[in-house]
Amino acid sequence: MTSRDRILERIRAGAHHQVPRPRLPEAPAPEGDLLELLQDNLTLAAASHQRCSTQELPAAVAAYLQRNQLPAKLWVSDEAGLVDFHHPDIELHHESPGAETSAALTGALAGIAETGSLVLHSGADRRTALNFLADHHLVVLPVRSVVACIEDAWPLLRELPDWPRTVNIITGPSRTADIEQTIQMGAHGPRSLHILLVH
Amino acid sequence: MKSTSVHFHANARAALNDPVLQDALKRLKAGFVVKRREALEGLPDFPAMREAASALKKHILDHLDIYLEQYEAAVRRQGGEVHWAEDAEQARRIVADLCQRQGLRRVLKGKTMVGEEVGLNEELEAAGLEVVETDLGEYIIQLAKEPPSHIIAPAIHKTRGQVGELFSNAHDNDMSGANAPELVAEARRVMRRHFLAGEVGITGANFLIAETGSNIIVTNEGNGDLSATLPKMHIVVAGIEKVVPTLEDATLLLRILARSATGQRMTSYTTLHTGPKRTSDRDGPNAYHVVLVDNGRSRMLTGPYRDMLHCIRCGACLNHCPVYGAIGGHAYGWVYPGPMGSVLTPLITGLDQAASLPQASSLCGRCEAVCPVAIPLPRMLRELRFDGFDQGHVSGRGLLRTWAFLACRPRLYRRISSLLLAAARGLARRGWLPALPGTGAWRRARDLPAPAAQSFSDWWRRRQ
Repeated sequence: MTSRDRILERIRAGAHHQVPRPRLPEAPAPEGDLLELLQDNLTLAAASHQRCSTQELPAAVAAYLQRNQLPAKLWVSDEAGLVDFHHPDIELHHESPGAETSAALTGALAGIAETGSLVLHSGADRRTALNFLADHHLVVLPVRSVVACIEDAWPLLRELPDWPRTVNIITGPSRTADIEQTIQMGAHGPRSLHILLVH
Repeated sequence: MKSTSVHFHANARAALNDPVLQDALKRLKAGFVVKRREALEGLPDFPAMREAASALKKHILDHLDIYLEQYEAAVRRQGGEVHWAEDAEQARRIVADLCQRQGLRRVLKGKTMVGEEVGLNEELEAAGLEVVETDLGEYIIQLAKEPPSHIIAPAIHKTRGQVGELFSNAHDNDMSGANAPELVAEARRVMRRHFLAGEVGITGANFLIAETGSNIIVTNEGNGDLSATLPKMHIVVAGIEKVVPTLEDATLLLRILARSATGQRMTSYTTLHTGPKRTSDRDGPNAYHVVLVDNGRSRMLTGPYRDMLHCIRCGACLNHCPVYGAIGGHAYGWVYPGPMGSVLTPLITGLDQAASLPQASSLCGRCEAVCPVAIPLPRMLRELRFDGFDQGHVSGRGLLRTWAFLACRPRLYRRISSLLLAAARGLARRGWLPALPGTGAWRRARDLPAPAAQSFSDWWRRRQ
């Protein structure tokens, strides 16, 4: 008998397969404009955001780097929608990010209005490390990708051709309260999270 | 980790007299308690969600074998491996073997309470591996060589000054007198090097999803994600009770978890990991292992402590417990403190090691009131007191026996009690009994009125 068998046998002594599965509470259905709600909740989560068109995106990114006095360098994801990203003043990097990665630009599968969260996932054309190693994480979110609540994100993931190794639901920048319960941004992940809502 | 719960009384006394700890504990209320209350005010359906979460957990536990097998099959489908550990030693061995077999030496650890429970670090270090705790709180207590004092804020007992000293000693960089932002920046700088060099990442899991074979970690710092993404191998250590059927089920629990824990609606990072990196993926580990830890849990399924397996480790019962608030986490002597710890510790380490813990409660009921999965903690603490008494671990047992002996013999009882009452009357001063030597701490804060000049039985007899 293996450990697995013994554990399952002990469990079966107490699991009688009788308690019915309860009905889950309805997912929240926020009222009003989802995009506005998302924007409010991004702010609550200490993420910044701006709206721009696809054409304005490179200039908006360049302005962000300048505004935050960051080097004109950008680690950019190779996913569709960003693969052609280009700005004359920005040096683009497609290799793995490292300790020197000041800013990264990625896309997102969805934005969740209920919580002000972004849903990102791993794949052949993107790197999960970008979401965590950069000081500043810039995320491009098409406004049509805004969903109401967390539950709405699961079908989008189930529709992907393969279930991804990593799904990141990101709500604001990295933070810690481990020193005297005071909240500090930028524990190990990005100090700043900036969302570019593209229409 | 070795338990010192048997020394609870001495530990608690030392904690009450530790001014630095008392200072740190004051922050608990303004932090977690207030933030939780504010977060729940924005969630009018909380009582209904709490009921649903409790009903869901009951359903899961009653089908635990089915969901664990589903989960295991799903992990395998995604190219991961599942290992079953019956006890702490087996869990430690499995993890150490996984690292050693691949010749991997540098281990990054995300925060895992079950890892603390089974004493993972000691085993890995004894096997010659270099283990770095990457969660800031866990890193601080690793430097201090202490166990966590809170299940979600492991270094809550440390002051800024103490952290500065620990960093100064460990980093060749004078951090004494540094403020909180400077300390966080220092930890970030030092940890970056570790992240980029790590070979194995070990994380816990808040939930295991039977449907997809995913584990979910709920964090704020991003260290768990870096630990799970950059190294060659990712090992997840999780208790068997963490499994839930679907992502929708996990969503219900996610909504109440962060609000109950830190008062956030969502933590910064809610991450699903499923198997190793896909062949074409640009990053991620090549190997993915899950160690399912029993360590007494399957035994809890039968008997009065089953509902304890509902626990989602939010820490709300600690934050609201007057006893935890007075003595902090270390006095409890093991890895789980507060009301949930006073139930879990005796159940996992044995009641003979921790019989005092269930006594360390006023049974005020706040823990049950704030528990997001409605665990009847006070009932279980009472139940454990009965068990402790039956097994002979409760002091004062001899006294109760003597009393029972006398109470069954009324004439002897009256004779002895009249002698004791006469002695007490002689000692009384102005209608009150002074604290007598040997009556302990309980009497130090309480006055006993002197017995009346005549006992009720004597008075009654004379009236006849």
